[in-house]
Amino acid sequence: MSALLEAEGVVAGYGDIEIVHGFGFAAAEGEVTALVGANGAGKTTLMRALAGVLPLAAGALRFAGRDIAAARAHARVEAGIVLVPEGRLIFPHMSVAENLRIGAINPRARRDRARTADEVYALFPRLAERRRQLGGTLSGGEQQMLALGRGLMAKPRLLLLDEPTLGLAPIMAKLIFSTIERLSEGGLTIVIAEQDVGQTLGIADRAYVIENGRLALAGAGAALLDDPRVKAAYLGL
Amino acid sequence: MDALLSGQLLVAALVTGALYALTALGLNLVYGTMRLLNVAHGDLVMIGAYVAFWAFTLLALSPLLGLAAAAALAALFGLALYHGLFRRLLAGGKAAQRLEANSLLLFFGVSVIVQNLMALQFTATPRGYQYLDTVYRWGNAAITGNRVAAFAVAVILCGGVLAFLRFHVTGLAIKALIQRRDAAAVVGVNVERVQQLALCLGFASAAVAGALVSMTEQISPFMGFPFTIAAFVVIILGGLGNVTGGIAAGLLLGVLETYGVALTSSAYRSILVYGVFVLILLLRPQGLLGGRRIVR
Ligand SMILES: Nc1ncnc2c1ncn2[C@@H]1O[C@H](COP(=O)(O)OP(=O)(O)O)[C@@H](O)[C@H]1O
Ligand SMILES: [Mg+2]
Repeated sequence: MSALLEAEGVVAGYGDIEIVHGFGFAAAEGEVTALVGANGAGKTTLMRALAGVLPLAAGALRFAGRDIAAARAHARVEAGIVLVPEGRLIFPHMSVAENLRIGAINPRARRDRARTADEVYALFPRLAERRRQLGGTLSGGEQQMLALGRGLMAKPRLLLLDEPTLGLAPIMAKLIFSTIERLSEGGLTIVIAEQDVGQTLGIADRAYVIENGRLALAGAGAALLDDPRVKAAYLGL
Repeated sequence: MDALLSGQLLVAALVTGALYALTALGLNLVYGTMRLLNVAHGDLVMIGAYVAFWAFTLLALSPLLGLAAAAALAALFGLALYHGLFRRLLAGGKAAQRLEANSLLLFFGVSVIVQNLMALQFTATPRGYQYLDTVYRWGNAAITGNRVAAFAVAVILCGGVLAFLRFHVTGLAIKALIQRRDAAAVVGVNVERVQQLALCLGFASAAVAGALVSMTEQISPFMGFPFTIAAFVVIILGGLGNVTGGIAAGLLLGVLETYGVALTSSAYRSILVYGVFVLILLLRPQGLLGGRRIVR
C-alpha cells in the first residue's frame, strides 16, 4: 500500500512551548491509521498541525506525493485533508443544514454539495430530522454526527478524526465507531486519534502510540492489542 | 404630549435608527471577524459624508452616486490597512493575542490624525448642500425627500447584507468566522480573504451611512465621534458579533434617542446615548437582544 500522507520529524506546539517533538508516521491509502496515547500526549496538537491550523515548527509533510508543509489550512482542505476536530466545534448559531453547507465551502466540494448532503443525511438520518435546528442546541452525540457530516461535505481524501467519541454515551460511541468502519469500507483513508485505545486498535490497520509528543511504539492494530506494554499501559490488563 | 404621538417624531426616529443600524453593521463585521476595536469607525462616516459632499458640489454628482464612490474609497482604505498593517499583526502569534487591546489605541490614533488632517486641510466649518429637499406629507407627518431616500437606502443595504450573510456561502463564511474562528479555518474557510472582505464591507457601510447623513445634515471633520459612540452602543445592545441583533438595536437606539430628546432637549442627546450604554453594561452586559452571547 502506498502512503497517502507521510509525516516526518513533525515539531509543533504553542508559542514557545513545544509539545510534539519530531513525530513521524504514514497513513496508507484506504486504511485506518490510529494515533493512540494518554490524555495530554500531544495527539490533538499533532492533528492540528496536520490540518494546518497550527504551524509546523519543523518537519516534512507530504500528501499524495506533494509537499504540503507550508500550505495553509484552507488549501489543505481543498487538497483533501479534512479534520473533524476534538470538541466538535460546531457553529452554534447556524442550522444543521448551514453547518453542512459551510463544510462544502472548498471549490472542489461546492459543485457536488447537494448530492454529498443527501449522502450525509442517509448516513445520519437523525441530522435529516433536525436540519433546521441550530447546531448549538443539539445533543453531544448529534453534534458529533454533525461534525463528521460537515467533514464529509468537504469530500475528503483523508479524514482526520480527533477524539470522535470523547464525552459520548457508550451507545453513541458505538454508533460513531461503526460509522467510521463503514466509511473505511467505502474506501476512505482515515487517521483517528483516540484515548479509547481498545476500541480504536480494534478498527485500526496500523497504529502509532504517542507518549509525551514522541513515538513510543508502532505496529499493526491487532498486534498492538496483544502487546504487553500496550496492555499494561493503556488497556489496564 | 401631542408631539410625542405625532408621526413626525416616529419618522425622524426611524431615519436616525436606520442610519445607526447601517453604521453599526459595519463595526460589527469588523469586530466580529477580526476582533478589532475600530474607534475610528465614525471617522469613516465623516469621510463618506465629505466624499458625497464634494461629489455633489464639485462634480454635480447625485449623492446616491456619490455614496458608491464613498463606499469604494472606504473599501480601498480597508484593504490598504489590512495589507499594510493587520495581515502581519493577525498572523503573528504574540502580537495577535494583544491585537484586540492594541487595536483600540491604534484606531484612536487614526481617528485623531484623520480628524485633524481634515480640519487643517478643509477647515472645521460645517458644510451642507441642498438635495431632494421637497417636503412630503402623510397625515400629520412632514418629511423631506432626502430623509426618505436616506432611510430607504439604509434599509435596503442592511437587508441586502443580512440576505448575503444568510444565503450566500461567503456570507455564511463570515458568520462562521464570527461564531467560531478556530472552526472556520478547519472547515476550509480562507480566513484571510474573508477578513479582508469583512473589513471592506464594514468600512464601506460606514462611508455609505456618512454619504446618507450628508444629504440630511451639516457635516464637519468632527461629526464622526458621536457615530462611533452610537455604533458601539448599538453593537453591545445587540450582542457583539450578532449582526441581526445589531440592526434591531440600531433602530431601537434611534427611537430612544429621538424620543428622549423630544421629551427633554437636544442638550441631553449625548447623555441619553451614554446613559443607555451604561445601563446595558450594568444590567445586561451580554446585550439586550438575542439573550445568549455569541460563542467565540
Ligand atoms: N492552546 C494551548 N496552549 C498551550 N498548551 C496547550 C494548548 N493546547 C494544549 N496544550 C498542551 O499541550 C499538551 C498536549 O495536549 P493535546 O495535544 O491536546 O494532547 P492530547 O490530544 O493527546 O490529549 C498538553 O500538555 C496541553 O496542556
Ligand atoms: Mg486531544
